[in-house]
Amino acid sequence: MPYSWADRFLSRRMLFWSLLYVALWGLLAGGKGWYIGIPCALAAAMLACWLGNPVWTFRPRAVPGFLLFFLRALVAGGWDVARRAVQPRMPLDPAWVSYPLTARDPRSRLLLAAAVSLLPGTLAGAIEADHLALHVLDHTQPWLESVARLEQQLMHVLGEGPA
Amino acid sequence: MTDLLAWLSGIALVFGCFFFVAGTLGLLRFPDVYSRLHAVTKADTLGLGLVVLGLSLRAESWHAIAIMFAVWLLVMASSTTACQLLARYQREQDRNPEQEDDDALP
Repeated sequence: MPYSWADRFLSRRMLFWSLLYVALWGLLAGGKGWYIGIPCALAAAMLACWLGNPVWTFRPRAVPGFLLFFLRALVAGGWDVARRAVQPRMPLDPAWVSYPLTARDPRSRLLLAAAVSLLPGTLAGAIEADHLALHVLDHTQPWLESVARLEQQLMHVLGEGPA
Repeated sequence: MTDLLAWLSGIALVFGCFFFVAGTLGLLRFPDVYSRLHAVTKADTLGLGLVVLGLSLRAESWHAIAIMFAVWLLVMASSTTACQLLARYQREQDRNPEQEDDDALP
């Protein structure tokens, strides 16, 4: 066994997730009901440690640029799909495509798979052998460029690759 | 100033509702599970974001804004995760069509 119980649950990681979940409870419950909130926050933090979720580290200077990029992608994605849904002839040309992943960090890959569903016309299916299976609404759209740009942005903000 | 904020808030709320309606239209009209997931995930996340923006502009306190923003982030995280899980499940079903799906509607 690579990790002992003490390593797993008495660590910086446990402290990080506990503080995060306690803060979340404090915000959402308005600082009330701690007799439920503390056990729930600790249980959630233990689950995060058990699943091996690392402490979030990122480059603070890259955050504003990433947020701007992400918000623009979110608006473009929502507008694109809304336009297709509202038009009477519904211009769709769906297909499955495969995106070769550059990111090696599992955290970058996980966030990419989650965030790609908010980009215009792309949806993550599964990660298979360094490729991300994507469903695209219209395969004539420049999906490759937009996913590659998102991947670059994520790797940059998470500190993978050159600064 | 207050008038301006009220107008901006109203515009954001109207656009938010538009995206919710468009997402629902997509859910009803799109031909397959994956395309429907596109509609629900993207349009509803943006719709909720605009509703949160609109309500933030007329919120009484910073605390209320922080709560709404946290709710938006949590909904965004859960909707992208649920979307991925549903897409993966349907993909496996498509690959093994001989397996009967007890929960699926005819």
